[in-house]
Amino acid sequence: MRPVLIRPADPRSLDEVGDGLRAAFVTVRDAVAEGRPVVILVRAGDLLGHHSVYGAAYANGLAGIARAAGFEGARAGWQVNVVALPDEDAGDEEAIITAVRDLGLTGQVLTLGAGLAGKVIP
Amino acid sequence: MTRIAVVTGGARGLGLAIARLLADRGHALVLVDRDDAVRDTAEQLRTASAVVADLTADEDVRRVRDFVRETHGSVDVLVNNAGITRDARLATMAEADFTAVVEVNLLAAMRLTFALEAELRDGSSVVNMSSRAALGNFGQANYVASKSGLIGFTRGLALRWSPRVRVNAVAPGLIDSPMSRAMPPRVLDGLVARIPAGRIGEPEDVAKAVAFLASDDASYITGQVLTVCGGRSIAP
Ligand SMILES: NC(=O)c1ccc[n+]([C@@H]2O[C@H](COP(=O)([O-])OP(=O)(O)OC[C@H]3O[C@@H](n4cnc5c(N)ncnc54)[C@H](O)[C@@H]3O)[C@@H](O)[C@H]2O)c1
Repeated sequence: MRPVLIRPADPRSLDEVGDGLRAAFVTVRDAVAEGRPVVILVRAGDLLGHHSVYGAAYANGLAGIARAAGFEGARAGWQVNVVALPDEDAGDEEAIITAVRDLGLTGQVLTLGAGLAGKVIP
Repeated sequence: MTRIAVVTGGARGLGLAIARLLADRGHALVLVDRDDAVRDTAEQLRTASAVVADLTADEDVRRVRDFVRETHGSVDVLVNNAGITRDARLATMAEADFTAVVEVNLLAAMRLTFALEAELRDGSSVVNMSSRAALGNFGQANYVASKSGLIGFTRGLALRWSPRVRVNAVAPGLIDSPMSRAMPPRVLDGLVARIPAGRIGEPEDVAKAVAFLASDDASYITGQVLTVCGGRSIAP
């Protein structure tokens, strides 16, 4: 089954952070109810706050949703993961999304590229 | 010079323990809480004043800022501690319960911090109350998202406001509180058995971590999360 994709827009205000997290929560809740995997794409730099404060709160909030779903639904086979894309070209996104689904992971934050090497594991 | 600390959610629980310790260490306090019991708390501490405010409301946040400006002029320590839970399994969690928790635990902390930017003195410290649960927890998608988002805010703001203001987070694990005391004893014992330290945390354990990050002893620390969970976050 093709994963449901969440690709957040860059938030520019507190309201956009709140609205974005709420929308992602509803998408994840409804997707797992239908047995569909979810892949959330964020910018790796956002996890450590490199781009903006709002982007950092949002990306980490999304990671929280994935971790909560992973914690709660691992036995039930829910698959909700975050892929943190490098700020430069991430390559073939479709292939990444399919690979994440096929690996059977859940509740993970997968950081691609070397941009966060040597830094805190988000 | 007396250091000024603003502590949100200061009426009770961890906020009260933090306020007590900071008062013991010579801070003058502004306790902010939507519960007007915060007035009694402030009276007990003597060096504290209280502002009854709902931090999800813009006008209340402005009132807190105006009070701080008029009473003290500046701030040395801001502890964003106010928080709520609305637990439910993901499948049955209402959108309103997700939003309410994110509003208080994440957005209100961000709103107040931004509002106090001009009041935060050079060399001041912001401490955000996250949770070990930011790493994942059962029936807490809203709470986990909010506390994980707060860690993102901590990192992003630390980079933006360095070197003028340090911004860190404390992530408590299981702490003795009304919430933990409400659990059936068998459930609580089971949770404690998984804590390498072999005991539940005390509010003072958290307060000491906050006071450390708030102090000049932590002057080379910013953008970090100090997890106070008796080792639970690394245990199997
Ligand atoms: N107690 C624990 O085991 C534990 C563990 C990890 C993290 N935490 C976090 O520590 C913080 C304090 O927890 P606690 O156990 O002392 O909780 P508590 O419920 O005893 O106290 C929270 C305080 O925040 C206030 N508050 C809530 N919403 C508010 C709002 N909109 N505006 C102003 N004040 C508001 C409440 O009135 C209350 O006085 C919370 O952020 C919580 O998420 C607690």
